[in-house]
Amino acid sequence: MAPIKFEEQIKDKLEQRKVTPSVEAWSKLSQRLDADEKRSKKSSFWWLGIAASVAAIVFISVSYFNKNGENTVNEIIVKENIKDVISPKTDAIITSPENTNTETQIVVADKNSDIEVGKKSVNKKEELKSSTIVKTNSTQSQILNTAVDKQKRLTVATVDKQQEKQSINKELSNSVKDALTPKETTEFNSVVAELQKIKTENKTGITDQQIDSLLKVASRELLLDKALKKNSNTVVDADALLQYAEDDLGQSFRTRIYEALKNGFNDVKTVVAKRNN
Amino acid sequence: MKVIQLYNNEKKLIAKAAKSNREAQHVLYELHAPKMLSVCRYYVKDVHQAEEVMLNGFFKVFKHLKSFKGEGSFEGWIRRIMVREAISYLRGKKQLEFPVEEIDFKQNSTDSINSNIEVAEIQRLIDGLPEGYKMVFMMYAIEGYKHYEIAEMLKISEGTSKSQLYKARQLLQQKIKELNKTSYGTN
Repeated sequence: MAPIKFEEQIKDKLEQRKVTPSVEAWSKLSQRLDADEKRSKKSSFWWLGIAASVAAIVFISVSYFNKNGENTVNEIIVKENIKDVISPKTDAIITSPENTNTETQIVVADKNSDIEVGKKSVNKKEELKSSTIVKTNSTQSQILNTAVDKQKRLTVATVDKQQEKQSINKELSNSVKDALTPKETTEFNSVVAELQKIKTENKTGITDQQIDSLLKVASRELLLDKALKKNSNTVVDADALLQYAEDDLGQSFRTRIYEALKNGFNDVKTVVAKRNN
Repeated sequence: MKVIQLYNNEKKLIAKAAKSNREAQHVLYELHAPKMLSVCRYYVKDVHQAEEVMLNGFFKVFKHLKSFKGEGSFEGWIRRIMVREAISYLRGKKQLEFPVEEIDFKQNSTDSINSNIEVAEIQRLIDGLPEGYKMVFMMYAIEGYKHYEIAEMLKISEGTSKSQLYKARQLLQQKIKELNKTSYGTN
């Protein structure tokens, strides 16, 4: 093949040729390479910056969602307690706004803002009210008395421990008695009826624990409700609100901050360690 | 032994140069630049422009040196980069055209080049070819690319590649015949 022959000759001749580049050619190339390396280093700093900000966002979101997660767990526990003790109807009665009028007065008067004290005052109120109801309804009063007896026992146990608080409660009870209205009496009757219903349904009777948890839940809900109601004629008790908030926090604030800081630091450490991989 | 040593040295040099060692890069440049400038000169008529193309090629070589896996020769790898660089240069200059018109070539019987013809003469012959002819001819005959590879690199059809090669050969043979005549005449 003729063409291939001449092509091979051309190739042989051309391949032997070498063309020397100009003297400054290498320095030009070297400068270009230097500039490119600087640019790539700058861009790697950019990436490092982006990685750091991503780590910061992760740290913030992790600590934020951790906080939310803990709150949800607490809420679930509270709801389960309520279900164990009371039916939806009783729940509604306790949390009804009309009932809060009487309850909040107790709360406001209670300067120590101890939940146990609040609970006791509820007990006292029920005790006082029971005597009025006994006159009107004899069958209800019998059941009520058994329930109240148990409440009394609980109250006495707490009162023994805190004599000073009891004296305050007595004053409170008096004020509650004065403040009672016919409307509240009917509400109290419905609470009593609910208690009776629970007792008949459950033949083993209402345990002290059940009553205790029921009253605790009721007093806590009323505390919060009152604190949030601005247009009510009573003043918001800052101590009571603080007490409520502290109760709500399962873990102490300081412990959670430490935990969040530790998690965040670990995340950043991992990102920095892995950045070259 | 010497060949193995040289090979190992080149390997070490490449490894160093890949880590942006400027000295190693300089040694590699000095080793290959004259040959690569010659290759660029095949395609680019102006030697200064050819040098620019070569420097662009070397810049890419050093930038992507990590992607050289040692499969095939290092020179072959650089050379392919240079050819691609030359193609993109000519494309940027819009000098790369592939004429489709039929040229009426006379059948000639030239089958060899006079050994006295200098390489500069050959280069001049090649420079005299239209860009499209030249590119396909050089890629096929000198670089050893297949038609499908040329078609892919130049973004043309395989048929165009074949016809451009045929025309380039005809034109070159015609020119060589003329050159041989004058060459014989002088002797």
